[in-house]
Amino acid sequence: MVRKSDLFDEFRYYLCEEPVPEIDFEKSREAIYEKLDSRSRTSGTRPSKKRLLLVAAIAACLAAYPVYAVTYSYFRELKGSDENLSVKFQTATDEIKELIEDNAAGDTYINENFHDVLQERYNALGPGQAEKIIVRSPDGYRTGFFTSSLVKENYITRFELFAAVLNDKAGFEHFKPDMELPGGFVFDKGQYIYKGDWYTSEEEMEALMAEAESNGKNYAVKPINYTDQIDCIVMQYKNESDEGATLSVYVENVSNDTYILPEGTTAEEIYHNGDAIITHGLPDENEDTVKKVYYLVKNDLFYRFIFAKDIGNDNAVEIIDAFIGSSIYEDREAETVGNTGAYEEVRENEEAGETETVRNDGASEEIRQNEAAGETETAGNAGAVEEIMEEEAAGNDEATGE
Amino acid sequence: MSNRLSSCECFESIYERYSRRIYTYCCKMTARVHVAQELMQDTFVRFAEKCGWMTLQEKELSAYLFKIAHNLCVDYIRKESRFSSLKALLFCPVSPPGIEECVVNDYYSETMERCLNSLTPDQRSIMILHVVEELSHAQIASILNKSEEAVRKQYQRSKSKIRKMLEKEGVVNGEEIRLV
Repeated sequence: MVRKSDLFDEFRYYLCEEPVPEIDFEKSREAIYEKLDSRSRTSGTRPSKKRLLLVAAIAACLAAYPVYAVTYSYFRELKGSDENLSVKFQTATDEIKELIEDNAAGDTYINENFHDVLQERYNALGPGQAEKIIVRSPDGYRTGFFTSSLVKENYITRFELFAAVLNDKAGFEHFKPDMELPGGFVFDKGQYIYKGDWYTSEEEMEALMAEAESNGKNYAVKPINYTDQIDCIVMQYKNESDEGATLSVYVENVSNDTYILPEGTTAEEIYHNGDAIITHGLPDENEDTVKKVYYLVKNDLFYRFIFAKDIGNDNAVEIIDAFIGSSIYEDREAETVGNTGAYEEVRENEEAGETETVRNDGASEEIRQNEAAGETETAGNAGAVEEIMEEEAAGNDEATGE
Repeated sequence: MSNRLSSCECFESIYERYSRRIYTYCCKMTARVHVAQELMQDTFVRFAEKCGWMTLQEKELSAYLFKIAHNLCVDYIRKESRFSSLKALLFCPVSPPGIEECVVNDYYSETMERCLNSLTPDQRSIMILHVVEELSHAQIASILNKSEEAVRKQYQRSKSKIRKMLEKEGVVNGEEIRLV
């Protein structure tokens, strides 16, 4: 048996020694000049892409205005101080409603048609182009509409799963959740379970949950994005004093999503310590109980609190206040200090769309988690739908050599 | 040739000195030869566009090039990841028919690739810059805009992660790592 250190040495050796395949550096040099030439020509003679986009956006807005004016009933945007954080809330436009109705057959329709539609749209994309799409939550839950993008790279590659899985404790020390919140909400003692890539680890995650429960513990599952600086956290608290009252907390450091409020619900704004909190009811799976959701942007973090039942705004705000006031992200901030600042690379983060998943495991315990995908619906047909689309792919065009 | 490029007289020599290193870095980051080639070109394009107003020392130059390359590679990996995630949710392939057959020049063996895929993009970059490019943690820290301590920690975590992965894979000697 090889010692542990030897295993890494082997890895290190092949990482260093394996020669990279030869390429023609002369041709690459020519390609660089061509790219530079083409860029300088483009910037000199054509209207800028941003200007074209602006004109297109204005035209789309004008075209969509009649629909928007009729259907508008709620629109609110929460923004962080650094402009990167912008979360929009709105009621469904006619287009969105139509989309929902068109897909009334639900999963069957999606399963039968989605792949073909997406494939068709993907094929229609030129190299380096991207199309906005709407991602819908997979469990027929009407609230989960989020924007995402379908991107075609300008080079041929194998689209294999590249997402890294955080399978050890890396990154975890950046985050310290409160163990207790007011109202009897407690965090499972010492039992932290977290996964990076839920697509590949969903079964594992469920097994871990089952294990935690069989040991008489409340589970706590936190999917964490692949970056080493946590971008997204989901926590699950359980109210010991009331078996049914769970609270899930979703925290994201950068969010650029639009949330379509559930039909028939009315959003309410609460002001607490100068912060706007948006809240609305959320029908349960069985539609016999109503959850309560609270959204808040604070310290450039986007928070979403979902209470399994309505415990009243005052109580909810007290819990939210306690949570926000906790030491979350302290270590993370400490780790990001120390930048040289010598060079500034303007980087735009793009985040995948997110969806919500609701599970009911029969023990009347609800697991709610926010994840980076779900089922997807295409919605590239402009109109009012365009209004909810986020500009998220633009920042990385350069990486594709456009 | 762009004006800005012509104003940077040393571009040619910089390309001569760094193109192979940047290509190697991109290749080891993305594990795709043609992608690495493209990203290497984009690195120099971006550099050439900016070098007109920048005066860099040799040490800074290297860090700056790696910084651009790192950002491009991470962007690529994230895009890959996002699109793959989108695909994964469908439980069926989205890529154009026959696209996988078009790729014949992947770089790593499966074991190596799995090891590197288990790292975050930043961890992967730290590993390559430290192990392959032999840069110090301080140099890497300036490239990645992190503190030196954070880089050191990430490197240790990456090592531990790779060991675990290799143990899990049942690798007992280098053969299984090397096989492509």
